[in-house]
Amino acid sequence: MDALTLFGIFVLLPLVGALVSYFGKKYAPIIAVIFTGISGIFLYLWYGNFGSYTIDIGVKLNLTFDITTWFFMLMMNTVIFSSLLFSVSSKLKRAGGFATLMLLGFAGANGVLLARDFLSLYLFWELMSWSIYLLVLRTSGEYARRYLLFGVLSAYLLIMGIGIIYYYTGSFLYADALSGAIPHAIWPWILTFLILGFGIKMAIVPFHVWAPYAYSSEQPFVAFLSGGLSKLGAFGIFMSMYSIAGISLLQSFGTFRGVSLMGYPFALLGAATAFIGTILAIFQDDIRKLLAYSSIGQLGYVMIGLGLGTPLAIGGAMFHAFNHAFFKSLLFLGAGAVIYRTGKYKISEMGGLGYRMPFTFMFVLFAIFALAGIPLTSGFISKWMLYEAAISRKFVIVAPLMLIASVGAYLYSYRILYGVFLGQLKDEDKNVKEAPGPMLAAMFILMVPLVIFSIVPGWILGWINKILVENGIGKLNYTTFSYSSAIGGANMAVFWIAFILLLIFAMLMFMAKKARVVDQYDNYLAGEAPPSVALHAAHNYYKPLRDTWAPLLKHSIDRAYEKFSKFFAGGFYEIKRIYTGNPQDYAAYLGIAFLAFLLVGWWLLW
Amino acid sequence: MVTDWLIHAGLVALYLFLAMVIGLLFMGIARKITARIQNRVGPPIYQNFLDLGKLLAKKTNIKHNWIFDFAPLFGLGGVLLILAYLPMGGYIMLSGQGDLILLLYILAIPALGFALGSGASGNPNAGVGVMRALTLMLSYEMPFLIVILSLMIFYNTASLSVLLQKQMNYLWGIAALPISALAADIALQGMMAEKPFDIPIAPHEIASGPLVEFGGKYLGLLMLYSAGSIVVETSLFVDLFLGGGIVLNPTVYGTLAYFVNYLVWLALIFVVWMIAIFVNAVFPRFRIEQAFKFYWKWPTVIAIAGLVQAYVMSVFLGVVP
Repeated sequence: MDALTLFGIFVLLPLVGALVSYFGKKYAPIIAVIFTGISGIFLYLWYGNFGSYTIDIGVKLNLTFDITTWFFMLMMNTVIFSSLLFSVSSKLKRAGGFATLMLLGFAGANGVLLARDFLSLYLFWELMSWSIYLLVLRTSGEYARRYLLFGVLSAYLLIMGIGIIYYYTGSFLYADALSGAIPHAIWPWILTFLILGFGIKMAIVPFHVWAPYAYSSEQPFVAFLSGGLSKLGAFGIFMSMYSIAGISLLQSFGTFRGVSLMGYPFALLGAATAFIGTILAIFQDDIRKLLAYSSIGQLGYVMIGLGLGTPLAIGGAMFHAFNHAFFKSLLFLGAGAVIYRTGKYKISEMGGLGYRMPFTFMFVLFAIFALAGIPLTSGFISKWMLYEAAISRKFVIVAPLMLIASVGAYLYSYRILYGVFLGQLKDEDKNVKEAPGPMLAAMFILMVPLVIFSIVPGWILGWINKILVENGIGKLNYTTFSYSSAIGGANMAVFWIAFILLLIFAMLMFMAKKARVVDQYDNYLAGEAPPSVALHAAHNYYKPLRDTWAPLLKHSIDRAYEKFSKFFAGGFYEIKRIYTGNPQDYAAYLGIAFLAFLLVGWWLLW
Repeated sequence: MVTDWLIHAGLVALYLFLAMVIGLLFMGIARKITARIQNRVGPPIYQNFLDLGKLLAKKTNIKHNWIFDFAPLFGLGGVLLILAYLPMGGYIMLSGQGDLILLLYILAIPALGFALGSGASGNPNAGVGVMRALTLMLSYEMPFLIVILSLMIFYNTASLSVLLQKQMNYLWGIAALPISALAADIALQGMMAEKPFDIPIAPHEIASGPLVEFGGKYLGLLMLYSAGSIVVETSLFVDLFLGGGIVLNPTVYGTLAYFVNYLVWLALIFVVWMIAIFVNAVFPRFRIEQAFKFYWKWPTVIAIAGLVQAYVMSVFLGVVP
């Protein structure tokens, strides 16, 4: 394998696919699925076939295919494959454009993952970023503008970081950054710019306000955006902190109980993100917004792990990014299936769909297990790693915020389950059918790893361990079925055997007597017999909690930005008033400007 | 090897069975004591066994749909799973194979199954009840998680079995971290959903909330679930703060130690349960937002004070239990 093959399969092939599928009309998603499938097959075949290739085309560029890249590509490829498979039957408008942009984003993402030099990183980052912009634009110009603002901010921050590095080293290669040319005092600036630039893509508080809008676009795309592309932020932060700068440089800025002072503030930021995202998610009634805030909160966990920087914490962050890629895209696709069948977005307007769409319900239920960290899915193990990483180093601010955010996740998880799938079925939804085959297949693909890696965590921990060892961070403590930290551990085989045995016991007790099935209206209402009142108690579900939080919810970062922008818009309006349309005024401006220049020039020359 | 495993599994089954019996008995005792405090006669203390027998023997059972079945299945299976991970009387069962964080998350399995089943009943009271239960959970978990964190920081372990060992060798949690123990007991009242925090089941407001649609064997199995939960919650407090009732070292005294420790553990969980019941008998009910404000105010402040104590002792004073 050489650089061209690598580049061809993972970047050029999706680009070709983008071109072909543009003309594919309604078959475009199928064509796109095939193209991503091909690059997926190569990804599986080339595991272990790693290498690093430097090309000199005037500037030195580097493409590297290593375990880190492979791990992130695995998420990216599976998520886009399922998202496109889902979109096959979701009857999108202008499906050709959709598939093209998705594949462009995919090519950009793969490029970012392969790049080990800042030039190609930046180019592919922009390719990815702009295709997201266009995909959001398909739904709403307003949402796209909000995304664009933060996308551009992210690009500026990246450029500043890259620019400082290039100014000192004169090379774009990651490997050259540590050559010693950059003064020690400059590194915090570089790292802050890069981390914030990448963090915007992860929707870290206070840069999260684009996410709830962008995540309200078409569901197959959002599944890829939230599940796949947002992980590029995590990848970027991981690379800039632990590959470009390296752990010994980070430690040289001083440490707080073994954690670099360069990383700890970002861990705090991540904890704040996890908490704020979760609290805001609890109060959302629009299922897309709820999932968006949940996504913000979950990526906060990833940020915590990356900030803490111990082997267990980074391993947890990687694992959580992996889990999040799967369960969040599964949730977005599940929401997409429900929206496709009912045409509704509001949780309170749905209800009882679990009885009509049992498979969708089961898949979403597993995703919720992973989201809430129930040990039946691998979602638990990543959270466990992050907790133990924080607790074993005695971090008393990060750990409680993480733990309470995880309890908050139960609240919004149940809001989805109850509001959408349980409760009473509305009359107008009586004839809703199960989601079409491709959608179910897409969701099934995403569910499988969550369960498998819960039973056999050793497999995925093996890959993560390789990433940690390769970047010189340290290693994890694990066997095929169990994992442990300095202060504890768990064995999933024992857990699963005990769970299954006890569930069988409960089932035996339960099966002893038959039960008769009754109608949903045949229930106890204390003697009242309302003829046609909506009895689905999902409207404003957490009202008491919302009331207690109301004084705090008044302060919103979202609105703060809006005020900020209004202030500037007002200021610009004032500036606009100098264009009076009177030639004498303009002549006066000219005179004043001439005088000012004269004075300044005179003063400068003196 | 295989016989060892079988003996172990048999012992675990015995402990689980005993826990269920204790739970039902405790429910009966609670009914009797509450009645005596309120100047009533009250049912006999074996009443809950009769109730259970009656419910499981019922001929007519009604369900709404297949998701409805999740409640009894996950409720009973899940609570047994928690009990298996919780040391009882110093017998650690599975808790060497999973630490406190795993236990915290297993605690959610029966609750989630129950919530799914009651949500599937389609009764609005059930929906409101689960909403209240989850809000209450968010409320009491705030102090409770901080308390658990203080324990884990102070004893420098996340494993329950190691925690018991260290409490046996050093000091019981309640002696080392009394402030945290106070916060934990206040949180426990909410976790057990006893007055003033019986908001989720509030029988006079929302017709027993999540339980409203269950009858027959469904209610019977859920009764077993709540019996198990009583043992889980009281035993959790005893394991965290009262050394799990270990007074004799099992490595020295062998089987006798297990027997004595079990009796001590039983006495201790009875005391913890009685505190909850006495408070329950004399208090009226909070509204849910009051409960939330209460828990995020005083118990949280107490818990943070406990956390500060644990942090200072372990980090600055270098106390190593």
